Amino acid sequence: MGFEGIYFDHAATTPVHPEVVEAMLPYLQEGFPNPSSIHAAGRGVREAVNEARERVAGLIRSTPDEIVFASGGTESATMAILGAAFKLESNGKRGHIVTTAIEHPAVLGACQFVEQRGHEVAYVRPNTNVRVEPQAIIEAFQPETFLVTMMYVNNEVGTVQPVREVAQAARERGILMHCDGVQAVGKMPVDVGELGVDLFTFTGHKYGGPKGAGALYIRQGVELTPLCAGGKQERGRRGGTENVPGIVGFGKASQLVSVHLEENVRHVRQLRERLLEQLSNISSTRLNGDPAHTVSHIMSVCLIYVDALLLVLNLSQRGIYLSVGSACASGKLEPSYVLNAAGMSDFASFCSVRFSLGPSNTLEEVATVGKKVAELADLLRKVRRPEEIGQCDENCPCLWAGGTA
Amino acid sequence: MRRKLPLSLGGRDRLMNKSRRVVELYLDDSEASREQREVIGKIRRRFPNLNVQEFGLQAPQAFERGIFLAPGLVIDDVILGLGRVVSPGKIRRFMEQREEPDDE
Repeated sequence: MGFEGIYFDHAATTPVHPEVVEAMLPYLQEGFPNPSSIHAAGRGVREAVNEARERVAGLIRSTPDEIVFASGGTESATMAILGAAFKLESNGKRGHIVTTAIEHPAVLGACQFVEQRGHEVAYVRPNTNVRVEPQAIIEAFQPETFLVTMMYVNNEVGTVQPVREVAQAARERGILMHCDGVQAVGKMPVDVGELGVDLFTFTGHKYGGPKGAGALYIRQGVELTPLCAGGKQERGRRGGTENVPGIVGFGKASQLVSVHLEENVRHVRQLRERLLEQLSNISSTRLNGDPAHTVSHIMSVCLIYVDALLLVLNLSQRGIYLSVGSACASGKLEPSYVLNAAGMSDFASFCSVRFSLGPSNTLEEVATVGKKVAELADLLRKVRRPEEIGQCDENCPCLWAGGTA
Repeated sequence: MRRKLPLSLGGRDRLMNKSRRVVELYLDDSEASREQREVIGKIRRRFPNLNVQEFGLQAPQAFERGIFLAPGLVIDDVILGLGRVVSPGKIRRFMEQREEPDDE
């Protein structure tokens, strides 16, 4: 049994590397003991967890002591945001958080949760290239601001956000800085010290590791209130028996990607360039985001007058897997909040698809995908009424809120 | 878990096969679903050789197609509608495209 089809959805998750599976298996079999046990069997498993911690720390240039394992990116981001808010609350205070309007739902959800507890949150919008201006974040700081949380790479469009500049400004003002690095780690070099962040979230299933294991980097000296307070694991910062196979797999994936990062980046860049060439042959197509500040592995493309959801479902039928930013909520289709935040219209959002590439993809796959996308885009466009098609092209005002399609 | 693909890459894709006309309707008890059924009824007068099949959203076919909102409309393995009524004009344009003669 092998995976069938062409998978261009690496931003959602990635194939687990065979060496990762091999590394994990013993911990699903004879390596079952609890790493917290004091006997030799437990201590052996403890060593495996420690080794994984070193590997994970190495990938982001932190020390092992600064790594807290969690169940994934969502828990890690939640630990950071709620942990910082609860710490403030333990002193009887409420404060102010600055974030962006294009964060992952995990971060937005955590911010909305703390808002309900009496903290204030400012959601800074990006520019039309889906990039937040650092000055806009800094201008949102208030005397009560205790935390700024922003992503490094936007998961929908791939734009790289100005974390370094914001982190420096935050540090100068004594504001804690959390960065969601989930779409960055394993795809570009990351050095948390050089970035200047205090808290950093990432997870291994975005670069060949298993789902169910992520980490929060907590810079030495930073204190958070733990959410899972009932155990001594992770030095009291996240209680609960460790997901040993997942952590071992996370460690192995981190080790592998450290070794192959440069060649992976080169390969994915080549795939991206070829895919862009293919898509440029389709008329009325627009690349969303900021071409100068975008990672290679994510592309958000607006195919005007093509229903993106229908395109993705039809491609899925044909064994090609992409994603859309729009979502289904309560039985209705909703436009992408990321594209809307950047000022794009619902029309543009419903025409936009996300391609996200990985090291396992090939140029042949790019050629096949380019061809099928063109075929289906042409067919889906042709079934619209001629008057629906209008004169729109990639520069049309109808792609922006307030314009008409 | 082996997942069956409804269509294989370059295989028996009816996108390129013009001889069969299979219409799959994915419906619930909403007004939109009733409307989509009526639209198909009208279309049948223009294209009498349609093989119309109806499914609920819980049907295995809905799962395989990825249809999670009703009404869903699939014609000759092309998903033409999801969550809203596909108009007679759109369906007609699709069917007529498929009736165009091949280039020699």
